Amino acid sequence: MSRFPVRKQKHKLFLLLLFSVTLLFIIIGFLISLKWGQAAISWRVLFEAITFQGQTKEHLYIQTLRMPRTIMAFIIGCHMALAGLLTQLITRNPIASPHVFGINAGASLSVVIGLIMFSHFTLTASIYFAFLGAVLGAFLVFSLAGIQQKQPIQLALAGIAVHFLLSSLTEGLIIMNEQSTDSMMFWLVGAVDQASWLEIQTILPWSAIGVTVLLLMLPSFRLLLLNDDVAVGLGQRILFVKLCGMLVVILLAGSAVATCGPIGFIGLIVPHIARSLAGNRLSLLVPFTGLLGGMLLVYADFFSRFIAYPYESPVGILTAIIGGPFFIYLARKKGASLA
Amino acid sequence: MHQWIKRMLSFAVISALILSLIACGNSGKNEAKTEVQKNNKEEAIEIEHALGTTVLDKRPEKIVVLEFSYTDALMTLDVQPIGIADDDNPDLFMDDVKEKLNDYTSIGSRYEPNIEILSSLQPDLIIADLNHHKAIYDQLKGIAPTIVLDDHQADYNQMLDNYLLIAKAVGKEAEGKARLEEHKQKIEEAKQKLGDTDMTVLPAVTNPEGFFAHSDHSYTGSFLASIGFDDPVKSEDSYPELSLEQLVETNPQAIFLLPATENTIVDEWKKNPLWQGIDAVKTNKVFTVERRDWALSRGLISSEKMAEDIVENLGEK
Repeated sequence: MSRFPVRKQKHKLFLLLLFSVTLLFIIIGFLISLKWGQAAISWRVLFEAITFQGQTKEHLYIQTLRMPRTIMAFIIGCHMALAGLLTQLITRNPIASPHVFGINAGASLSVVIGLIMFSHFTLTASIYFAFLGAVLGAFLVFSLAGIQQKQPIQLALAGIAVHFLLSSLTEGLIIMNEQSTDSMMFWLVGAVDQASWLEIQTILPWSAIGVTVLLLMLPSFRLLLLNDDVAVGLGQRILFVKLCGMLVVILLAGSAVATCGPIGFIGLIVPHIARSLAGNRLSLLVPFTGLLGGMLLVYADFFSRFIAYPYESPVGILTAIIGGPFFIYLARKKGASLA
Repeated sequence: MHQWIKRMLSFAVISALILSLIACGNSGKNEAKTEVQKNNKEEAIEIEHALGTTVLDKRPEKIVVLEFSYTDALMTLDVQPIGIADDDNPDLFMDDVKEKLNDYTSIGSRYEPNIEILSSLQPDLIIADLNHHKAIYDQLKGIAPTIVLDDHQADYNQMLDNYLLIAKAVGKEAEGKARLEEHKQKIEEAKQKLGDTDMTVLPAVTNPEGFFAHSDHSYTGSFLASIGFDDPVKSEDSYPELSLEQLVETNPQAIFLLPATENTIVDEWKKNPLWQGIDAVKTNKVFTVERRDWALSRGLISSEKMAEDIVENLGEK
């Protein structure tokens, strides 16, 4: 934990700049997201709509459709990125993410089961189903691999195996119930385009709980950066800390999947970018990861509108296009150190 | 010891999961033998179809169809298929088709027909779809003479062409032509009752996740066009997903909703003031019709039902 006093001042300046640039990009992202969509809207109308004056069609587009959609993209991006960061910390595995670790697949599977079994399947119910599935997915992975941090390879293999098992079951269910699950293929890649204020209201409490627990546990999570043996030596109940971490991951990833479907790769790539920019100090890394994740998904959602313009395409396509190559890059780069 | 317990536990959890899924997937098979009418006429039939030419030595008696529209076609020709890929759900047939349909064996999903059951029926004709069954064409050909039609993505006029091909394949070309004339007559009558058709009409399948417009390239869209209406969604894609914003911009003057589930996204949209701004909503021209009639059956019978629905809702009163 040694510091370099000479560079300290510079480093602080850099961080300040980093956060302000990120905030600026987030604001720009929100603005372009609100400004451009299927209907043309002038800057003037945009300003009126944001300040909630005016009730014309154009104002309503922004107030009731584009705004919740953009906010939802930000929230989901935050959730996914933070969940990814936590899984990477808990497992000490750089290629860990809720997506690769059975949590997304488990949540998807149980939401699809719910959609097939109940015709009146509400959003709130789907969130609980997603939690259940996320727990199941995580449980499967950890029962296969154990929670000792000594076996990152086993964990990665178990995670991928469970991910594919659960995804194949989900797809099997969809094929067998093609009629009731018509557009679920669309849902399976994840999309925020239908987000409404109601959905934001539903997911916000979970964001609040997840982030609060995360912040409260921050000092303990810091020990996850250490070796397990050292942490135990320092008197930490490492298992308890890890379980709390998993709980937060399940809350964040589960509620995100239930609301918008599994949007892949955000949880994988954002923590890496954040870490390379903001460093390893959790009190900086955690908020920066959240902001960066939200920002990335806002931009991804914005660009996904133009894939099949003027019709919608799921944002998950875009995150997969960016995330796939990044995953391969990480696997190659870290492959040596892991093996 | 501990390791052993852990392994057994995870194995048990995974097996239980798989078993429960298999259990809820496989239900409602239609296992019934069918009497096939015997009506032998010894003449070869040659059919040109999407993947080549198939020669049938005699009029086929045991026919297996892999798409709903083929059942619709066979019903108009008084031919009973012995096997149908019905997605394991007989409720997907429209009532008029179901009434005429005898017992048959389900071949399972239209997307993944069960080849084993199919071959055990020993059919002498299989009618398949270009998009879904191209990959298994060789396999099907090995079981029985197979004709492949571009049907699932077909528009209305293509369906009429396909209909004549099917009629020819089952040795009822003359009956088919006559029935087609009758169909055109019925549609013409419907057109008369409609009067002015100068308006935009949008059919759309809805479910909880989205609003899927049937564009001018889709079957329903092209049917609406053939009777004079205008499908406001112009797209190469047959079923593009519309956001509420795009729907409001499209502003159709009438909407036919084909809900796939009980609750759909439209329930949410109705709460949004933008929904009230759509012309069709303002003039009370949003109608709900059966999806199996409009989007699944896709044949003469269903088109006539569509015409009926349209006349009932939009006809001159």
